[in-house]
Amino acid sequence: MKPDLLISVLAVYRDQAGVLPSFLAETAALLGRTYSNFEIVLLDNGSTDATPAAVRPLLQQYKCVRYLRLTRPLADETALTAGLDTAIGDYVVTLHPDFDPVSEIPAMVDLCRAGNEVVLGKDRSPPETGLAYRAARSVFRRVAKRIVRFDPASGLTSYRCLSRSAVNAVTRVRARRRNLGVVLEDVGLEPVFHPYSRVSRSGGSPQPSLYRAVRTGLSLLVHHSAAPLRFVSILGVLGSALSLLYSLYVIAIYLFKDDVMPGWTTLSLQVSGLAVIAFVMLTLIGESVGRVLDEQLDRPLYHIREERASSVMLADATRRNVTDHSTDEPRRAA
Amino acid sequence: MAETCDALIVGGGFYGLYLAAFLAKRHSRILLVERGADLMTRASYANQARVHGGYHYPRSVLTAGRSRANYSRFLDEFHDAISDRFEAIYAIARVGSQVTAEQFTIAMERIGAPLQRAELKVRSLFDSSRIEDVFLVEEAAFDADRLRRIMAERVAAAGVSVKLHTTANRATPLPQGGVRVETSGGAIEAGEVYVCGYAQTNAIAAASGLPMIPLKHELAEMALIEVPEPLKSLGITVMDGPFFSCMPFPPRGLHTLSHVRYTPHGQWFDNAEVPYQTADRVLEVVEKRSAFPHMMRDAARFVPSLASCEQSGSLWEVKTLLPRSEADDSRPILFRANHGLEGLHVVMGGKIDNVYDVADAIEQAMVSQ
Repeated sequence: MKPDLLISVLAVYRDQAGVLPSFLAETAALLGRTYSNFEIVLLDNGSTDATPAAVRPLLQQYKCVRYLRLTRPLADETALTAGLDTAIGDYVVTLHPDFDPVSEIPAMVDLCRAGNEVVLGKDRSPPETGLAYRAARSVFRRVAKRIVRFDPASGLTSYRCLSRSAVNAVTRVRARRRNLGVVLEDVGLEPVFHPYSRVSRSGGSPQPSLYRAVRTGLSLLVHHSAAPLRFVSILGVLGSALSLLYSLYVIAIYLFKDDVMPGWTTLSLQVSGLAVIAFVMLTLIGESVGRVLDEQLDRPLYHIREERASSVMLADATRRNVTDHSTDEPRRAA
Repeated sequence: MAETCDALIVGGGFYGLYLAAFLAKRHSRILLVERGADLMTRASYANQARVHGGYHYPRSVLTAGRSRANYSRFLDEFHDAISDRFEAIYAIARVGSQVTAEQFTIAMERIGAPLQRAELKVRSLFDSSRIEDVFLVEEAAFDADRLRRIMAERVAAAGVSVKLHTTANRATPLPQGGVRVETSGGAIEAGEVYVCGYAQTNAIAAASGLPMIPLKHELAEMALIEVPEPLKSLGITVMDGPFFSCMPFPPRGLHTLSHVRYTPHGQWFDNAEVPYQTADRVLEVVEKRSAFPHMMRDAARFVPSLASCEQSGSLWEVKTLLPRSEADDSRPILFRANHGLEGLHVVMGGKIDNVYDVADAIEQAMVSQ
């Protein structure tokens, strides 16, 4: 008895043309067996390979597949927003078409249906990372806990399942680069973790890149909290205070000492005076930028270049149905 | 012994009936054949029941303007078939719409289509994070059952002979001019033949060895639904992209839910390369699995109260388009005079209120002869 649900499977990817046919075949078969209704959304995050051409025959072969192509490659989080905006399912499963096993979908959905709004997949055996990566990571975790008050779980992958209400809550937060983990905390949704083992359709493996991790980390710290800017403001206040004290010291030296080098006083006052001005400016600018960050900018985050849906050619369907077999031919097992 | 007439109309849908009455003013003996058991039972019945007022084409001022002009004419001529118990609402989506609310407003002002922001009670039915703005417009719904009665009476009063349960098959030229059409009820010899078969347009051509007119067919589903109370008096259209409409369907006292993405269930083409298959064959043979679960879920994201609508079956019909219509907002009628045979004319149009364009084109063609 298939449950009366509509499941959306969302694959946000870039340059996966080689993997899509087998991914779709497996996913369509699994979903067809397990759920009464489903849709598969392929969200192309600015692929430069042959994906658009590869998708065309797939749309004619499979029902309930949608293909959306963004105009340019965007941050993973923004592309995810585009996908979540368009998925219609009671539950939305996101995954990577190459590295995430399709067979885990029912387990993820069941966990979500058991009352957990958000299920996040965790890699049982995360890839080996270098010393630099691990060092950067531990520094980041400590800083993040202090400044952003957020403890990012490790081993999280692109495999997720969100309930409809979680999708609605999460897509309401419109910000250019938003980390899903932080948004979940903001919104008050606590995720449940589902450990699984990643696979590989293409034979390659996901490469954790230190550069991308640093960028993501910085973005997490800077874009989600005005705390770094507050740090700048504090530095500014401190700097200007110290420079002011120094200026007073210079004047005091001039007044109370006899053998001051000619020019030292004016030079020192000029330098420290400028420093005071500069630090005050920094403080004010830091505060202003903080205000701006706090406000939501009302620009569209992404633009969909094209959207195509399944357009199954009925000629094949009717031809199959029209041929009559007058004898019972032995049928191949399904 | 063949029956004779001045003009034979093939197809008892709205276009065929309108043309029959129109031609009866100019000819003395008009015959109309319809393969079904009654008139206006196919595409003329199974549609959104919308009389277009131009609001559907904000990106094409030409189409929108002509639509608006036809609107008043249709309302005047067929006011007895108009169902005025509904308010027509157009909502512009925030994401994925090809026009903004402002562009929509400007375009409608340009063609003189009345538009005002909907009242708060109606606006609150929409999810404001997905809908940019909501407008009350002047667009009517027609009752296909009442329209059928009006046209049947009009055609009878004009002296047109209507033969139901009659399928037109082969068409051959007559030596003295005119066309001989073999039908399931005997042969008919006509001075002129007008094929108004919509999805079955190419059936005669296929049976007669005449060239196919390239057409695109879609198997279309409109879910019939019972809507919750606040929506009962509204006809809602979300623009302008892969969205949906929830329109009143007077003949059944229900609403239809149609979705740009989920209404088409597959497609095929009439052209020289593939063997012809009739629309009826496809309708009979193809598995019809309702897309209502998809339609309802997507629609409920924009109008939350639609989550509690109940389905009462679906209307399945073949929608026929000119292959060129996909590129833009233009919705031309096809009128092909003397197609393959002298005296055999083909008319194909997809919008009920565009019938005036056909009549005008035929009038012009007659005048130029």
